[in-house]
Amino acid sequence: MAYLIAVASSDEVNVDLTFGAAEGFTIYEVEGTSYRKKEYRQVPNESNSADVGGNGYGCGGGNEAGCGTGGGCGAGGGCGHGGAQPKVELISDCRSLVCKKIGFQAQKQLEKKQIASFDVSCSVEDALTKISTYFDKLDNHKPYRRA
Amino acid sequence: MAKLLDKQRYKCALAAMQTVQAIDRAIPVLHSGPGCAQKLSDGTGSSGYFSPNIFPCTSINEKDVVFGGVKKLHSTIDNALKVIDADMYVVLTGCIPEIVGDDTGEVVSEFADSDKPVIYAPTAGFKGNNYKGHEQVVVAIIDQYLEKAEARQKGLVNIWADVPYQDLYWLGNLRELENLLKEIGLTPNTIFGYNRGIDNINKIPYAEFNLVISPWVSLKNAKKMERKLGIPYLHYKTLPIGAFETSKFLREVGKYANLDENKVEEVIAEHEKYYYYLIERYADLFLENRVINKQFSVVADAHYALGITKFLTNDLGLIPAKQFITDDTPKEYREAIAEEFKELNYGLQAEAVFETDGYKIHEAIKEHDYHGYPLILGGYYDKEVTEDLSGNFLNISWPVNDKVVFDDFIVGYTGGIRLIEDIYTVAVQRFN
Repeated sequence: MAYLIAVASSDEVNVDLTFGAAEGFTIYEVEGTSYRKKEYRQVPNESNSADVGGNGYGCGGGNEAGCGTGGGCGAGGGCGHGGAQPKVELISDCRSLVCKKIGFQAQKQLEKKQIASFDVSCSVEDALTKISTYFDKLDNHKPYRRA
Repeated sequence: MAKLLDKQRYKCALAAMQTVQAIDRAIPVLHSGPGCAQKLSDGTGSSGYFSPNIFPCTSINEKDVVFGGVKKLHSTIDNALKVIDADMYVVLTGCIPEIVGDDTGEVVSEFADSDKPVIYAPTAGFKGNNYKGHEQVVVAIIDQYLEKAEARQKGLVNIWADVPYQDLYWLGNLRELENLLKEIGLTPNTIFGYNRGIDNINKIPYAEFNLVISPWVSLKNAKKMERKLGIPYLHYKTLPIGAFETSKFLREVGKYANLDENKVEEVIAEHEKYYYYLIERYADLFLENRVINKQFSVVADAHYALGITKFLTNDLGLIPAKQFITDDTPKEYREAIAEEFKELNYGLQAEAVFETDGYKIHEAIKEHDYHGYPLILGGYYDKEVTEDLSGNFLNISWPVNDKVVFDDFIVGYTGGIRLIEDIYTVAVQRFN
């Protein structure tokens, strides 16, 4: 059965954005081990500013990049509680998320929705090939031995 | 159809982390899932300078299955070298990295130039149990660390016997074996336990011979050392417990090492005198036929099952019922081990059953006619069934919940006496 994978990438070539820094996700549709780009989903604007109102957690502790939308940089853990929520909602129909880095809180929120997050630095093609091969074997009860 | 294995008496090969832990200042670096070490660590006697709670672990997860865990392994080893002050780092792989094909050897080889030795042992659970894992760790040391020595030190003997932590008496047994060899004029070398570490490992290649005291565990290691390091080995199958077997053992070792026969006989005579003095003093207890059971069964690994069966038969004059060997002994050794059980004094023979399933063992115990209540020496799992049969039970093999052993031992003359003490302590309580 086909499923969706969300990828945080600025150029659709490399996985180069953190979950926090991503302003949108490229959604790929996967069938077996083949995949194709389906669409690009923009993160709604209000969510980008929603979490700036730090509430005593000292959001990010001097970490400039990406920390705004929660979990972007795992620094501080407290950073972005709830802030990641709109993004999680945005990709809640996906089976998996691929990004450069993801914070603990955001990862947990995705886990609750049974979305497997992979924080890797590689090409989009490489990531999608590996993940689709993995899910394909998992779904079809094939032994998972890397070729 | 899938088979159920009930109450098995061993752990997976990754439990070889206990073997590493037993080497002073050596630390296992685990390339495995986050729960493995937790599951495998035994409750008692495993804390200290390093304990399973601080073993570095890659804690691999789904991402590492998909993308490979070698980067994580590299950084884990790298950081372990930075923050943990150890003499040897032994990378142990669990099932997952071996299934997905992480090249652990390749990663470890990148640390060949580090100040401290980093070696690795493949210990995936599907490759076997912790007896095999124990051998794997020693194989890793031989293959990746030891070099052949030009010179030999006269009288230096490497002893390979109990599997640390799996055998509750491992520490005491090794020390007592050392003492016995010292008395007959040899210089023993062991690598496990207090004050035995990298220096003892470094001594291995200089030994005159390896002494394997075990029915099968470590035999593979001795053969490997013979090939690579040119060290011959003496394989003594029976753990010597009590006077009969210990004297036989000392004579055989003395002969193999070309020791002065008179000196060996002197040592034996002195020990036997004291041993039989004690036995004589308690002869009334032994002769009181109500006290001890007529027949006994041992439920343990081949090492203890064979040693204890011989001891109880040859020294105490008890009659062996079926003996259960629970360590999943590799098939190629089984016949020879079963034969050993037939070499008992007074023309007695014992039937050895190789069985890993606790349920089947218990059924066999229930079925057997012990001519009264049985004496069962086994793991904690066997306590209940023994109690159901109103028998006497002593916990001498894993799992051990009934006994706390620091450095007690059952090997040698003194060890035999200790075991008699333990057995009769249980037996006399029946009449209190």
